[in-house]
Amino acid sequence: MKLSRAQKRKLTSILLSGALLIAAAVLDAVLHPVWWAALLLYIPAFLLAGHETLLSAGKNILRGQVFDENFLMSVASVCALVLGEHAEAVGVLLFGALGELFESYAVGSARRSVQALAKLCPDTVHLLRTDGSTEDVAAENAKADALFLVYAGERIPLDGVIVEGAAALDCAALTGESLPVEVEAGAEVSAGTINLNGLLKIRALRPAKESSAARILAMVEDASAKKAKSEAFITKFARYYTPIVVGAAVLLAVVPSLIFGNYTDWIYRALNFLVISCPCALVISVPLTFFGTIGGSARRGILFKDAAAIETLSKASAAAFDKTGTLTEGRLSLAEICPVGCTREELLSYAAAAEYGSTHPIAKAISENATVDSDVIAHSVELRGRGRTCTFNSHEIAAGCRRLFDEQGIHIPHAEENTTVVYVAADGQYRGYLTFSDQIKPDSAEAIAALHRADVSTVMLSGDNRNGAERVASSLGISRYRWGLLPEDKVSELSKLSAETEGKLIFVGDGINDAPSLAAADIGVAMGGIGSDAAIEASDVVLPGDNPLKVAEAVRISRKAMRIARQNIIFALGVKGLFLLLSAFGLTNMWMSVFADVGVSVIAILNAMRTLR
Amino acid sequence: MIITKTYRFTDIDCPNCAAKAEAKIQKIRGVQAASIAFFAQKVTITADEADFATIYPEAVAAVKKIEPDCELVEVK
Repeated sequence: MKLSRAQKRKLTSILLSGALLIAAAVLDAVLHPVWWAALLLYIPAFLLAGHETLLSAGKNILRGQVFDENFLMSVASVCALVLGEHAEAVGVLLFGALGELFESYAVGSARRSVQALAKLCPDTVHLLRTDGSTEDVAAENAKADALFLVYAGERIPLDGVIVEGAAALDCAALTGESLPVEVEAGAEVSAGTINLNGLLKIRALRPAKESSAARILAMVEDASAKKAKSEAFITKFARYYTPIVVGAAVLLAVVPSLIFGNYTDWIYRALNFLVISCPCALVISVPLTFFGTIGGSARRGILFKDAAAIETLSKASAAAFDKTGTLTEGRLSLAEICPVGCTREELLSYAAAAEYGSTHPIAKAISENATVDSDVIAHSVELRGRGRTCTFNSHEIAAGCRRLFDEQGIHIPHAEENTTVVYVAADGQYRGYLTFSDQIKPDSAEAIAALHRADVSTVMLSGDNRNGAERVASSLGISRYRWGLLPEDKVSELSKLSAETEGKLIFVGDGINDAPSLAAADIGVAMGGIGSDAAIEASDVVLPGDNPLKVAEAVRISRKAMRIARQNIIFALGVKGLFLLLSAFGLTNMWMSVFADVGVSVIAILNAMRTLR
Repeated sequence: MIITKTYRFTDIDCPNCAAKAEAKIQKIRGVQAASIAFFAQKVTITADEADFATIYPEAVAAVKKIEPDCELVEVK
């Protein structure tokens, strides 16, 4: 528990005052006929617990700020003192101060948990000089294109591209994914990730203030500026609540006394009103719920753009997914190896030899699965749009599409039409084929199932052909899908879907090509889009990682937040309403009222702080 | 030109006080929209660029009336 100096001071005076109050109560009971003896202890306890409240009430009156909480508390306790209810007078101030202390502690810890995100990026960069030595400079002074080193165990200070070295990266702080990611030369890395085990030489892509981590922090900080509807409601409510309760208190003190007499009893009942007139429990617990949700989910790799986004997402009943790069990896990988008259390994090495040195996505997919000795490859030729040929270990290799084989007079005995395929021949003999597909992400099926369990139906919108879309949709359990869509078709599909959907419609896309769709849906979820301004601008939720499971998690988090906010509103309003009623009929005492006030605050705050976990 | 400026505030430590300060700032002449993010400790004010010269001191006075130690610093 971290307390500031002011908070420690407050705690000390609360504890001292509490001790004095107990001593006074004991003395009061023992020496009851000598009433002034106990007062000698009650008065210091009263001042100790209430000096801050009484002082600021006095100051505020001088500044013309009459009806604030300090004033109401002061009036209630001073009147109670005058009425001879000494212990209750101290109690009101004591528990009021305790509630305030708890409130400021809760606010502080919520703020700290969000500010912890700011410590994502180290302050210094090990800049590499041309002579090979390094120099430590402040991160904000490093420019784009600067070369720097990151040692094992350190956080990467700037977004960049690896020039030399390989390592496993812990990206949990940015993406919420706990599995390390393997990176090597050529890979883009984000500031804030931890280099677990290698020495990396990196070329900076952008200055520190534009890095992914800086964007995440800025997004989280700005997120609380736009208020959710329930937040705005509660602020507005508080504006009327206090004056109305105070007005009612005045009426309660005056009118029945004039009719029935017995004015001390009615004044006492009215004082109970003043004690529960502070709207703080309400006003703090709802925004704290949203703030806690924004901060807590940022650490899990889910960034809400504002509190309103949480509210809208909680009402989602349908989700439209982009296919490529969202549900699939967005790159080709080797699917099938079908050799004819040779081994799988031979077929693969023929294909790898033919594609050696090519930058085509297919060549990349093959080289992930096979390595060839470049010394035995010669005469590599690229035949545009048809394939490649070379000599490999003195075999004449050809690899490519059907047209290449027709030209060379090599017969292919079967037809593979629906997928991306490369046929391979060695020395004029057909040796089989390889197929490639865009791999479905390992978590996509579970992501869709989790949404279905949360009563969110799913649709897939794909720019791909019918076969590609059907394959992905059916293996993921998505029953509705559209194919062959251009970006503008997706927007019109979304508006059609939106009209059919009873609740809110989510669109999940990669944020780069799908900005119009992200903006068109009720809730745009940009995946892996923290690097792009357009994505942040157009979306309501950003997932810095690329795991589709986070969509269902975001829905779950938003619903939990709304549940907590609603609980707090109903609980606080209910208890306060009940106690107003009970005090009007003289069924409460001030102890109960102050517990109703402070207790509701503490419980509502504790409830709201569940979102931080 | 209509612009939005962001200020960081200090020392307002109760959300109800922040809400009151927000209501006061919203009433300042020339302010088109104003919002206080209590937890982020930020005030955003949208108004015509030319009006900020008069709005800023009034906003400072408004928050000081609620919390005398409160400062408003522009975030660039």
